[in-house]
Amino acid sequence: MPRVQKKRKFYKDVFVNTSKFIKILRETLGEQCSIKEDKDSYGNHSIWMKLKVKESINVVANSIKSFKGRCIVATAYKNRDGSHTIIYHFDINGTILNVEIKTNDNMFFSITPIIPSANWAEREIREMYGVEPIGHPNTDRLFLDYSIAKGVLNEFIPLSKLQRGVSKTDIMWKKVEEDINNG
Amino acid sequence: MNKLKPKLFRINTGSCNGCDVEFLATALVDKFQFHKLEVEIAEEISQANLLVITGPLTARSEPFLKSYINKLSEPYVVVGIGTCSITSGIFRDSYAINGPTDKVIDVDINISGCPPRPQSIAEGIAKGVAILNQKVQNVNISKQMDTILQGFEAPKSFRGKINLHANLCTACRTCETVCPSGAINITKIGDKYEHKVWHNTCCFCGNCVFFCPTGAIYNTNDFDTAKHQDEKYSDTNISYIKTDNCSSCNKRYKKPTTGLLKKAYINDDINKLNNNLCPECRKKENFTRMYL
Repeated sequence: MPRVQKKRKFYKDVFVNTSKFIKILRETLGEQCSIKEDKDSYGNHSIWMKLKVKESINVVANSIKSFKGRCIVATAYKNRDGSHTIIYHFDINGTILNVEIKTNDNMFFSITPIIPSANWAEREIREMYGVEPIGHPNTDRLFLDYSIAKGVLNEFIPLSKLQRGVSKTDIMWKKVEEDINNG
Repeated sequence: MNKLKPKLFRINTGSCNGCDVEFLATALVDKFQFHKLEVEIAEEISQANLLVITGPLTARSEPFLKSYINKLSEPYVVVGIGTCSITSGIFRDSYAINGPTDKVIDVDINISGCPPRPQSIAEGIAKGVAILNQKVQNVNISKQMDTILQGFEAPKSFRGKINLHANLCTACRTCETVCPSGAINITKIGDKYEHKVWHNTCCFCGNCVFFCPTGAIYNTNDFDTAKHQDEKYSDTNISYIKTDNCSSCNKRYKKPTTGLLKKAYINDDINKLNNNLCPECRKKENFTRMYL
C-alpha cells in the first residue's frame, strides 16, 4: 500500500524537524527562553515557548524561516499592570509553535520583514491594542476607520453593559416615547 | 401620465450579507412577484433612482456612502433593508458604528427584520416604486400606504412581530434584560405598567419568548414590516399590565399569575393560597399559617 507508507514518512519528517529545531533554538538563545512540549488529545504535537527578552523574536523568526514555517496568527492581551502579552502562533510542517513575548512600552519588533505572513496579524494588534510593531513595512490601517482611536480593545467595557444593550440610555427611545405620547 | 422606469442600485454599508442574500432571493424567485415591479438594475449610481441600502453604516463605509449620494440625481427614493439600516439594531452604540442610515440620507421606506422576509422586501420595494412615481408626478407623498403585493403568508413557525398577552405578564422585566437590541421597554405609569416593543429595532431572535417565565410574550406570524419613514418611531406594540389592590394593606401590587404560582409552590395546592395579598402580606400570612 504505497499511500500509507507515504503518510508515515511525512510524520517521521515532522518529528525530526521539530526536535532539530528545538535543539538549534536552545543552543542560540540559551536561558533567554523556556520551552515546553505538548500533545493534544489527537496526538498533535505543539511547542510553547516563552521569551524573556522581546528582541529575541528575530532569532526565532529567522530559524522558522529556515525551516520553511509560516505565521498562522498572532494574539495579544492587556495585563492588569498595563503591559501587553503577544503570542505568535507558527506552523512548521504541521507542528504548532507558540511564542510568547511581553512588552511594557507599547512596542515590539515586527517580524514581517522576515516572515511576510505575520503582516496582517501585527497590523491588527497595532489597531486593536495600540502596540506598535517597529519596522513593519505597512503603516496604513488594516480595517479600523481613521475616526476610531487606536487600541479600542484596551478600553474596559463591563459585560453587563455589553449584554443589556442600550434600552435606557438611548436617545432613540425618547423619540419612541414622544410618538406614543402624541398618539 | 408621467412615469419613470425604476432603476435600482444597492449599497452595502457593513451588512453581514443576510439582507443581501434575502434581497437576491427576492429578485430571483418568481413567487415573490418582484418582476411585476419592472425594476431594472443600474450599473452606475448616477443612472439610479431607487437606492437600496443594507447594513448599520460602519465608520469605514460612511465616507463611501456620502460620496455615492452626491452622484444621485433627483428624483430618487431610498429604501433601507434590515433592522441595521433603520436603527443600527444590535450594533447600536458600538465604537465602529456611525449609523443609522437616516443620519446621512433621507430614507423613504424602512423594511425591518433580521433579515426581513423576501415578501417584506418585495413589498418595501413596491412601496418605494409607488413613492418614486408620486415624486415624479409632484403629488403629495402618502405617509400611510396599503399593502401592494397580495397573497403572501408565513409558516406557523415563523418568528414575526412580537406581541404580549397582558393578562399573563407580571412585568418581571426578563424580556427587557435579555433583549440583545434593546427593543423592549417597561415603565410604570400610575397604577399600570406600560410594556413597549419597538419593531424597528427588534431582531426577531425570540430570546424574550424563550426566557419569559409565564409565556406572556410571543411571536406572531405578522411580517408586515415595510413601513414609511414617518412610522419609524411609532411602529410599536404597546400593552398595559394592570395592578391590583392588596386585600390586607390596600397597597397596589402586581398579582402573580397562576402559572407563576404553580412554579413557586410545587408541593402546595395553589387554590388554597390567598391570591389577593401583596408579597409582604403573603409572607406574613404564610408564616402564621405554617409556624404559629
